[in-house]
Amino acid sequence: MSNSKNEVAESGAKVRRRMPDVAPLLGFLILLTIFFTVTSEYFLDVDNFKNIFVALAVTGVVCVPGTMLMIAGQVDLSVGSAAAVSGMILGNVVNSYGIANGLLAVLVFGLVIGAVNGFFVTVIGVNSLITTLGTLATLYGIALLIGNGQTLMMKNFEWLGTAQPAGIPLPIIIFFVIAVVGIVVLRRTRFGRSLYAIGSNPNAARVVGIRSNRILFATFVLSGLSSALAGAILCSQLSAGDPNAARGLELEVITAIVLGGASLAGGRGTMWGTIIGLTTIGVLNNGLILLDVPTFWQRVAQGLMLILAVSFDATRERLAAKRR
Amino acid sequence: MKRTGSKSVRVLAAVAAIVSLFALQTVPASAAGVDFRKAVKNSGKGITIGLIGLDDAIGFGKDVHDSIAREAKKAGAKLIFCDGKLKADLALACAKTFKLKKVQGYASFNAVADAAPAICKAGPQVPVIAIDIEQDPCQSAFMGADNANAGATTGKAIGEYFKKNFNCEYDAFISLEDYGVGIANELRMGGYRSGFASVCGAIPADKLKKYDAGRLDKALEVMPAALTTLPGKNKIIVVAINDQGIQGAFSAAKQVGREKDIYAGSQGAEKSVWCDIKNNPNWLGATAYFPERYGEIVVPYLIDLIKGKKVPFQLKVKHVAINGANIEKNFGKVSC
Amino acid sequence: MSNELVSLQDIRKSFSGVEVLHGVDLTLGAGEVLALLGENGAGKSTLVKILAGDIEPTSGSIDIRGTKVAKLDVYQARQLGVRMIFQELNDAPALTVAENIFLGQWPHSGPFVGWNEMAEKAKAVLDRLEVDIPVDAIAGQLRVGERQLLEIARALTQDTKVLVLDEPTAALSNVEVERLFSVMDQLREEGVGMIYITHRLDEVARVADRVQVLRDGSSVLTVDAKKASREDLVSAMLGHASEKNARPELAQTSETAVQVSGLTSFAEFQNVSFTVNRGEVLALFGKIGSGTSEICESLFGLRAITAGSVEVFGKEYKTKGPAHSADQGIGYLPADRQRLGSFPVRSVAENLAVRSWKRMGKFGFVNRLLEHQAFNRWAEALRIVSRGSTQNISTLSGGNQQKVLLARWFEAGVNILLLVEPTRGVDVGARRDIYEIIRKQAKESGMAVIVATSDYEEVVLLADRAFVMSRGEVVSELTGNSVEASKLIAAAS
Repeated sequence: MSNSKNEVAESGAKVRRRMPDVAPLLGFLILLTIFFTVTSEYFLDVDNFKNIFVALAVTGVVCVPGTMLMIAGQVDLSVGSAAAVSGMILGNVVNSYGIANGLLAVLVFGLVIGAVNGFFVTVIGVNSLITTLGTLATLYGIALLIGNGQTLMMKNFEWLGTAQPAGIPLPIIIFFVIAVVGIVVLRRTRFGRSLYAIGSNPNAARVVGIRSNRILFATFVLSGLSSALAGAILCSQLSAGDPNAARGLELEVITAIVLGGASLAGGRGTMWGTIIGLTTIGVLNNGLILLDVPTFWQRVAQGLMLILAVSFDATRERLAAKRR
Repeated sequence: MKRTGSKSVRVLAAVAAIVSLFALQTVPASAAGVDFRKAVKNSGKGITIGLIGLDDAIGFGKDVHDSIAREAKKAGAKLIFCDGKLKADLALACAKTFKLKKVQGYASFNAVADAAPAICKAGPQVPVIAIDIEQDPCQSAFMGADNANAGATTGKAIGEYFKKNFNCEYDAFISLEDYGVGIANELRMGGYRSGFASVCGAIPADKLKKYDAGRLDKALEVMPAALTTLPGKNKIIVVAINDQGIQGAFSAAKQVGREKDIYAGSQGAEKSVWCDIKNNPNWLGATAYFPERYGEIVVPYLIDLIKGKKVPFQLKVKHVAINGANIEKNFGKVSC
Repeated sequence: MSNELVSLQDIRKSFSGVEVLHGVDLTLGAGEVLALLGENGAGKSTLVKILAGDIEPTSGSIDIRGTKVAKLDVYQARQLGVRMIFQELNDAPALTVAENIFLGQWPHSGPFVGWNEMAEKAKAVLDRLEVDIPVDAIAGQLRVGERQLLEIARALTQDTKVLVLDEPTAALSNVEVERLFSVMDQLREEGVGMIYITHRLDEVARVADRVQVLRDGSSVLTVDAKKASREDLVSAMLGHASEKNARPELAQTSETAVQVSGLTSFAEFQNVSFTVNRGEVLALFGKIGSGTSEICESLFGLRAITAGSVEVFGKEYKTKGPAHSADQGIGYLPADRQRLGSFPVRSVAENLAVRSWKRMGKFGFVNRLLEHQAFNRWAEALRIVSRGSTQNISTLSGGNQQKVLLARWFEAGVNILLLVEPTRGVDVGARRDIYEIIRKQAKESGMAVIVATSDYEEVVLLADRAFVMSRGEVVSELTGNSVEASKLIAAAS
């Protein structure tokens, strides 16, 4: 990475290939931004953009390993429930044993749930969709059990969700750091490249001597950790643990990743794409609220925009295929 | 598969939330309640108010939203609506948007009371009216249902009917409860008993029969058996935690030809049961919660607060026991 | 010609402004077999895809069964009785044999599939092919060759007038190939016209009536199959006179790299013993199912070893699986490129470098510049034709894909390389490149190579020594100049 000459030489070759991949969505995002800037006086505002990205940060943290899993042809549906349990654990432990123990408990929980998912997928060999559908339900039950179906208030631990060092909200910084790590890991490490290989052709990956199971296990652990972190951020933002928090997070994550150009079949996708997909969704949700669009119409608009954005991409691919 | 899965979970959550939201409030000593006030024209001119909605996908939340929108328009105030969709993080984002849009006061129907401090802090520091769920520490006033009073209202109506017609004689007092909703069940069902007792005296233990059967399907299941244990009896009181429980009770009684033997009271007086109430003289009362009139409290009092007027903290709805005789007075023409 | 089925006149086709067919004519009569030859990239596939309505020509006229077709689409081509059989499998692996034969055309009454009728009809068509496969077997569990026959069976159940076979024998055993030829003879009797694309020149005389050779998008030779000499065909394909099938210069080594003693894996192969020296190429020759490819699989840890031992450079060798084998310096090139070899949506550079990432950076990082450099280096050495190191591997021709996968192991620097059917579906020109590069690499790096193959020509051109196998056992060993086509065939049958 320190070798800047390599960077230039390499990006020269890559720009040609990579640009068109994300370009349509990026164009769509820019159009959307222009539209909201023109139609709402509140949109183009530093505080509003803070609001947009704080709202995205929780989903974004989970999207990073989510993209890795998707590239490897796997999916983790348990992220929402895991985040809810994480928040419940954090609230309880912080109230009784302090912040340090609370964070430790959340860390351990993240490791454990990631390892459980990873164990069933890689050792037992259960399909990841089914495994994590199971843990999704199980963890939701556990979240309800912890608080006996009630929410709980957490005291004196707001900084993780609300601190603003140098004027930038901490959740945004956390997301940014994790995203950058994600970009580097996916593009520049053996681990990341192996994920592409596994997703592209799992049989060939085995035959070529990639230790797929270890790599997938590690990625599920990362997913568990990030879900736990997301739950902790959410809990700190609200100063409350809520068993219903982060409900539906898994769908938001998958939507952002697929919108960003990753293939549900695996082998394809980039961290940048996911970030742009995520931002598109965030800008859209925010803009619709600012424009006072009635909520039922918001849902209609969100659905249609999603189809429209993906259609752009599909059309581009079809045209590219024709030219070839 | 995923979609339907999460959908059904969501619906369940919605149902749980709408019921439990009544459980969340800490009910102070029963206040008398305030009258609905139609908004005064132009009273809100130049004022921007906000509303954090419960969830527009839930009938109760939508009724509240619509009524506030209606009254705000009447008053000439600008309403900014933001749907919390039962989620605290969305309510938090709503509060931030309100700050950005400089609302001068807002009503909050955020579903997670424990997250209220964070939401209060993130939002603009302006007058706040909490709806049905405490929004500590920023609530200037609390408006909403009064569960104990709601139960007592219809309990008393049943007592008065029985005193007038049967000299307070009855065979049984069947209580169709829902233990899943916690404290709200205690308050409502206890309210029935105390309201009834205030007219006809305490209910003897051998006449009181409690079942965990507040929902339609459960009531359908339990009632036939309950009636079989009361052969030949024709003065049976049935009260339920909501309208659907009584719908179920009447259907079940009808199946065994004993719909004339039961006298019922319910909670809600929702539109879906108006016809039944109007046409069935044995449906003695259904406590109305008036979500479609919440705006007639929220909007005028919020405008008062913004204008610096003094407003009582408790703004509870005055519940009314609806029956065939007074239903049209309260809800207008009911055509069946 | 009155019995003319197909007449393509002056067909031109351009992709992105580059013309790949320069005015090709093709005719096919009823009951005629036309062998279509040419190296990969010569335009054979494009031409037959135009006939199938898959690709629209830029200009030219298409006549099928007397109908002049203005704009041919896939549906219309099917209506006119044109059927294609591809080298790659187009079946549904999870369904039964019978279902696959009637894929999409299941016999039915109302909305219900007629299972019994389907089974009977499937049995009938398989009998006609003299194939003994149960109709209720699951297609995915059959061998590749058997699955190929199902595709042919499918074409037979439909009203076929023109049958295009694109290298159908690549994956078939000799017995299966002969069976296919007799079916083709039968179809010829019925008046079906066939276009037969192949890389195997020896098949041309056996099966074809006429031969047409394409080179660089032009038709360069059309002759009676009986009059076509092998040399003529090869020189027409390559554009210059070919050398004779000469034996390579043999390796002069004595240091043992691999010693296999009494190796057994259930019934797949039994009691196999051999040694391979450094820098030597050893062929395991035999028909599909004779155990040759299974030995390679076992050595790489893909198949259990039930008895016997293996020594590598004098030390006992045991493997826990492919990753462990690869870490011990062993490479493996599978026969099924699509399923086990390539990473289809990834770039050629990535496909090539996948085994070498560890060397291409520190602390788990990969320097992608090195990836691209490695590709460029091997592309030059192996004459890989591509648009550059970022091209998606699945858009390359079969021969070029195979070169990338070979280079994968060369770049990784293995000591022992196991190759299974290394030139299946690869054209003549690329095939010679591949043989040359394998021998060169073995000689220069001292790598020991074991080739499992069912192609005797490959053995003659590539191997220093050959073990001939039949039914899981070694039946003979040929060394040096005794490695000859006739001896190999005789020993294997």
